[in-house]
Amino acid sequence: MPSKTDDQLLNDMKGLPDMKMNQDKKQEIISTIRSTDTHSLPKQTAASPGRFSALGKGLAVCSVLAATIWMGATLISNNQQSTMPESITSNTPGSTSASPGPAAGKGNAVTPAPVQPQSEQLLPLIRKDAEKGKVIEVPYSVEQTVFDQVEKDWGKPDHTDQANGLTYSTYAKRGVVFGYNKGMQVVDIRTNDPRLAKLNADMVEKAMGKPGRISEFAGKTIYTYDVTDKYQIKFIFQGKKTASAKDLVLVRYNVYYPQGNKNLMLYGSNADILQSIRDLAKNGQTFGSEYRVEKDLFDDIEKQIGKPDIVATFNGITYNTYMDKGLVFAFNKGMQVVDIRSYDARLQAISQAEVLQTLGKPNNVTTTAGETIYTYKVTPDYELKIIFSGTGGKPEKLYIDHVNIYYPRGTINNMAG
Amino acid sequence: MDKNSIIEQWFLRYSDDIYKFLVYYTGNKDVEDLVQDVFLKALRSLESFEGRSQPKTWLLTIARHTAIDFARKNRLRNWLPDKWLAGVQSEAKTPEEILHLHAEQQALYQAVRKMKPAYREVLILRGIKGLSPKETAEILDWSENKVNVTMHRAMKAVKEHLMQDRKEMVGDAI
Repeated sequence: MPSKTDDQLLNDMKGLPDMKMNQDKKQEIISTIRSTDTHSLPKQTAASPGRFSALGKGLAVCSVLAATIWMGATLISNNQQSTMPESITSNTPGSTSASPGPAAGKGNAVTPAPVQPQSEQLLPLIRKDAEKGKVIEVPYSVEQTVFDQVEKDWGKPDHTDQANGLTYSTYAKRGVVFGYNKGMQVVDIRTNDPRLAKLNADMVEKAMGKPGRISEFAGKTIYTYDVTDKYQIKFIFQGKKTASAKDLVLVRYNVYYPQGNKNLMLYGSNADILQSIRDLAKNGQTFGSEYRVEKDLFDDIEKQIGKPDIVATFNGITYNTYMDKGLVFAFNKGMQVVDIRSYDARLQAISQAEVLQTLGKPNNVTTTAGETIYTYKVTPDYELKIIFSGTGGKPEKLYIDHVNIYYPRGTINNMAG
Repeated sequence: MDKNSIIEQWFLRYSDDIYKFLVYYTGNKDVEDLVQDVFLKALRSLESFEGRSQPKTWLLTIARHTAIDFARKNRLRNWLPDKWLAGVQSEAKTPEEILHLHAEQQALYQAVRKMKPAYREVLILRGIKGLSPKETAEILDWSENKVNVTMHRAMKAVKEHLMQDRKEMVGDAI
């Protein structure tokens, strides 16, 4: 994602539309200017900083005035029912994240107004549309739509990015992102309809049942439901999966067609992807990234792909998350990369049974925090770890969450002890 | 020419500039009354205008102070209870609604709005209004050097904000 130069940004700013006042209003102001008698007006020293020193006095007077008005207003409002319709208390741009709370102006505003119903009603609609491969308020469906059609109807997207082996085109004003494959077939549609923000994981579970799998990436929790044998819904909540379901607020959801994200020219089957992962692992690499553990320094990676979105340090190892790339790089104190994790969506369609069939039995199996980890020693120095979301159950029903290429020797702190 | 005629001439010439500045500065389209205030203040204090700066720069200085005054009064208003405020709710639309800004412009507009006041002022004057560093320095009562440094930092902050917005939109690769 290249950033704009200063000149480009300046041009963009200058290109923001001009605004003109209404002619009638202008005429009105001209009449006021003409009829203003300058001699009867108190003189002001406009634009002088000193003028504002007098504001202190003004402010004090205003405060008294405001307090009087406030008391008066409280008395009035306590004694009369407001006739104002339910209104948003502020239209300040940028205030969308905060929950405004119960709307003022309702006659019985003492009891908090139930805000959920309208949004909860969305969930059956979300499900119904997803069964057809659609997200709410968007007429296009995954699998059936060619992106050219979207572009023809909606115009050029605001920007385009690459991730998951797909191209993602964003229509920012509509809050919709389309992911399409090399054949221009739409396979992923994402929406961040503002109504979603009123939903949480608890409501989703009540309406849709337990998700097929729960995963976590970059501080967000993902619930995946197979709505049909072809289409999935992914609900993305802000917060870690250890949080209470009621605290996980929905930020967006996708309807995804995993089959459409298989590049048959490159990988004929999931077995091909797994073999490729094993080959890459022998070279210290992982799926969706050209960088290598042991050989590459994080400094160089950062220069090429920019700053990470999330940085966390654990046991002397720093983990850098790139949300849009679905990658995490971990490096030691010498900046040497020791662990690379790929959350590529293509991996998440591969079952444990397929892993066992292609890669054979792992050298080690562990379960931790609701995940099953298969470790394959691919070379004397590197380990390939395959992490499945879930423990137990049938191997056909357990799917990959992410894969790591790990260089254990690099994680030993030679400076300590 | 009497004072009223001078201000009338200036109004005819610069009112749209002042209007645009105030719309971007306050984030509100409902600023005609503020425009009127600016020209009435100019009329009252025309004698203090020494002609060292351009009338437009001087008027923009007054407009900035008028907007700051207005914001202060608004802050006082915000102490009032919600129920009372509901009765004085402005139906004014924000610039992106009136102008049907396309998405990229809207993102830019929002980014500028979200900057801290010093950055926002310099971005509006230097960027959106296209004033020179010298004119901007006069209006803000800063040195030219401060204008340039702040503008540089503000542009960097806007770029970072736009990049972040874009990433948020695509979200995570999951």
